Amino acid sequence: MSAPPDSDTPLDPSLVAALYVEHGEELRRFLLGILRDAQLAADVLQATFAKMVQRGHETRQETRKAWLFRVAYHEAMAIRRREGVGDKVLRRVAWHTNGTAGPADEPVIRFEAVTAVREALDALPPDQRQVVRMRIYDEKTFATIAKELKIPLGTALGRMRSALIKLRARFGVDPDSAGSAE
Amino acid sequence: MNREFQNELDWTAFCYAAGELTPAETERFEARLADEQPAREALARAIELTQVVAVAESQPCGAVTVAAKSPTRWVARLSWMAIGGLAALIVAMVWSGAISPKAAIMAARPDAEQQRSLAAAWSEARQEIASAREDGSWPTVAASPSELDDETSAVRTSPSDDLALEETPNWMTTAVLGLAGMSPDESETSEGPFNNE
Repeated sequence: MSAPPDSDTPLDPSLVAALYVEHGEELRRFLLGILRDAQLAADVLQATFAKMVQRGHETRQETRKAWLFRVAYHEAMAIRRREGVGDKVLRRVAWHTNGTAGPADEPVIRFEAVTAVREALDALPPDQRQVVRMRIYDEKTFATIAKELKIPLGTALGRMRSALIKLRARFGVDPDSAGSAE
Repeated sequence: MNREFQNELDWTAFCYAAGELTPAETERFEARLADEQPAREALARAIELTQVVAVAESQPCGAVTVAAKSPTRWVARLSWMAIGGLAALIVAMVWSGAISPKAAIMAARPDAEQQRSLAAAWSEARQEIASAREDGSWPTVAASPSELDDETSAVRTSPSDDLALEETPNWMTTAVLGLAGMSPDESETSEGPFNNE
């Protein structure tokens, strides 16, 4: 049980820095998933941690990660409303950056993860790997994939879903440890 | 967390990121993002996984391996680190005075004892020559031009040479005094090997 938040004493800057190191990349990916723009995601990320500096002392230690994500989410949605980033941009794939952001704004991709995923891709059944490649690398929609492969849409979705489960298993994400209730 | 629930959440997050959800489904998932931390983290995982898959699919295996391992980059980094360290060491030594032009000159100079011995020898030689000249034992026969060719056959003497021995040139006095660390003025006022006359 941690101590209750101290509303008078500002959060130690080194503590905020540690939070950035621990959650910054995950938060950046989350924001990229909402905004689909690396530069906007970086801006919101900075704004989020700026708020943590200002108001972090009002939070409890065990809820700070969720606090960061919640603030980031509301900041991102506000930007989407303000800048008219709506459904149109949601149609763009999230994992391809627009090239306007610098390398510092791009999420970090671990070499070990790429190696593990490549091995997992090689181990996939050919039909699943084909769908993965067409969806992620060729950026085709599932409807297009189904049409080109002459398979039902549900089959294309099912192949992709099965492939993602296998890839995630090799990727090293433990579902049981992931996530914490707010 | 239930694995099936986790898989369902991850799949929904992937479809959201891929823009494959209907507007109604998108709205529902965004409502979950507003309230549920697991949904937020699932979206972050979906983005990470798809990015990694995109990288893995876009690069040949060998290229990724070489780029990631990149020993030459490390060699270059180590080389630059070594050069930087050496430069810092040299700067530190110069700063501390261990290496400096002045230190090199001081190292090249003979030590004080050597300087005193040289000055004393020079002074004694002058005295002996002067007393030999007074006794008439100093050779005063001028050598013939033919004999002068053979430096070992005769001691070349002349009035000018005698004068030179009696009156030490200023440059030589200055040089010897300089080696001894003294000034000409000091040599005149202090007792020492240069004031024996």
